Amino acid sequence: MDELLSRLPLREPTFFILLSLSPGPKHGYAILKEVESLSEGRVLLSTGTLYGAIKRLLDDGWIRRVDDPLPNGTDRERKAYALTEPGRRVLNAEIERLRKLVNVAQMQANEERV
Amino acid sequence: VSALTDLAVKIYRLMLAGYPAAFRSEFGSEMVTVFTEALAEARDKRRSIQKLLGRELHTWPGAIFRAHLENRRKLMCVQDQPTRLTPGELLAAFAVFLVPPLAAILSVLLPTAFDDVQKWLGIALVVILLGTVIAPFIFAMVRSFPRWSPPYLGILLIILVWFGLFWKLWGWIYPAVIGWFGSMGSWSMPVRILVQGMQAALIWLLMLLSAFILVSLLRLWPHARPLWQHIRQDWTQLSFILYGGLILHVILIFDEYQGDQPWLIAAWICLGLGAWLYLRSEQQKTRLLILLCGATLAMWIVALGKWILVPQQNWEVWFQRFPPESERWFESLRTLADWFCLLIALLLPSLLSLLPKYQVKTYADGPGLPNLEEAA
Repeated sequence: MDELLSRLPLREPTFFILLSLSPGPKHGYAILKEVESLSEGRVLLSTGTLYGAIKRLLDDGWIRRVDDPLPNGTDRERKAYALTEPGRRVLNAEIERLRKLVNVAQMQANEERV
Repeated sequence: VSALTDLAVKIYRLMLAGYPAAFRSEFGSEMVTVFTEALAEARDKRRSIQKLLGRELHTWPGAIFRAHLENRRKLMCVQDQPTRLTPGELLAAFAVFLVPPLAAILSVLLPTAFDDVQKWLGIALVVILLGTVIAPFIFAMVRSFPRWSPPYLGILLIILVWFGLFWKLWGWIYPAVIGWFGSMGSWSMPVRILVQGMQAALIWLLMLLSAFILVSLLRLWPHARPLWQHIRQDWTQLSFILYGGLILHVILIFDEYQGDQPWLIAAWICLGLGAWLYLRSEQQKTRLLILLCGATLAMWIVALGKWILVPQQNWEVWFQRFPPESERWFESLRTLADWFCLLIALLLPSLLSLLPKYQVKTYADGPGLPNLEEAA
């Protein structure tokens, strides 16, 4: 776990990609759309950035390839990606880190107001 | 719109060519699919296709740079574990180190012990000895240049460098040397050694360059591609090519000496022993150290041999200009200058191995190491 924590903080695209896979496996285009939606249009990934990140996450063992849960009706083979246990742990650790950050920031901001 | 979409996909496919081959084969078709889907949605929602393509173009240089960097780091972290050599491979690997001392021993024994030896027998022996070196080289080619084969390429290259490139280039440089130091007869000992050092530097620089060019060319031949892969994984393989060239180099720098055979045999034994330890060692650093030690021992033996042999040589005319006592120092020191240049040449390719290595994380079921065939 300590080794996972040493990888924090995550880069924003990495965080959003992991977050997009949190509910369940997704294929490349679905991840792209989900990241755009989760970030309210702020993080627009190009395919190069997306697959560069996917490759690193696969290498790190944070995500894995699975069968496409939503076949698109064509003959084309489609790959989907799912969070692995270490991937979920690192995502949770990042969420926790961000939560603490927000708490500290809110407390500080409230003190200033008082 | 359809023509614009087709054009965008074509441009996108061209852009994919910038990624490493391994990355392309793993994600290429998937990336095209995702891009096509993004294009279709942009068209349906009347978004700008140009904007989408612009985003891809904008992030493309950074993405391919990172992909290449990652690929390179990964290739370098692949440990090239030494494989156990079969008896046939062992014989092939060391033939190039065994034949020269054997030939040297025969050249001493034959004229005395076999005075009545027929001329054809002598020729047959030469053919057998040459065949003993050429056959393993062919064997190496058939086996796609395995890890034991670089010394054979070194022999080829040292012939090319000594008898072709070096004298051609030195012929161009020599007038400048005369311009700097005056005519050859007026050179002091330090100048003579300096000029010899320049020659040695040129020889090893040419060896290094020609070795690099040769392996780059062999890379184009799919059958020989494993050689390039071995070198990418372990840069000491390039140094091993130069090390092989040393087998012939020690003969060439011992030119015109009488009684040099024991020294040459000792130097070759050191080189052979170094090659054996090199092929057995698992760490790149150890391999490099072994090559440096083997080359150092061989060259210092040659230097010592020259120091002892010079006064015994029948060089009366030469000794009138340069007394034997100073000449023995010159001959030994020029060999050490040669050794110094050789060490730098052996070290240069290995500096690339000192680049930071990529740490492969093994948290879960990652895809493992890249396919080297594709990556190359």
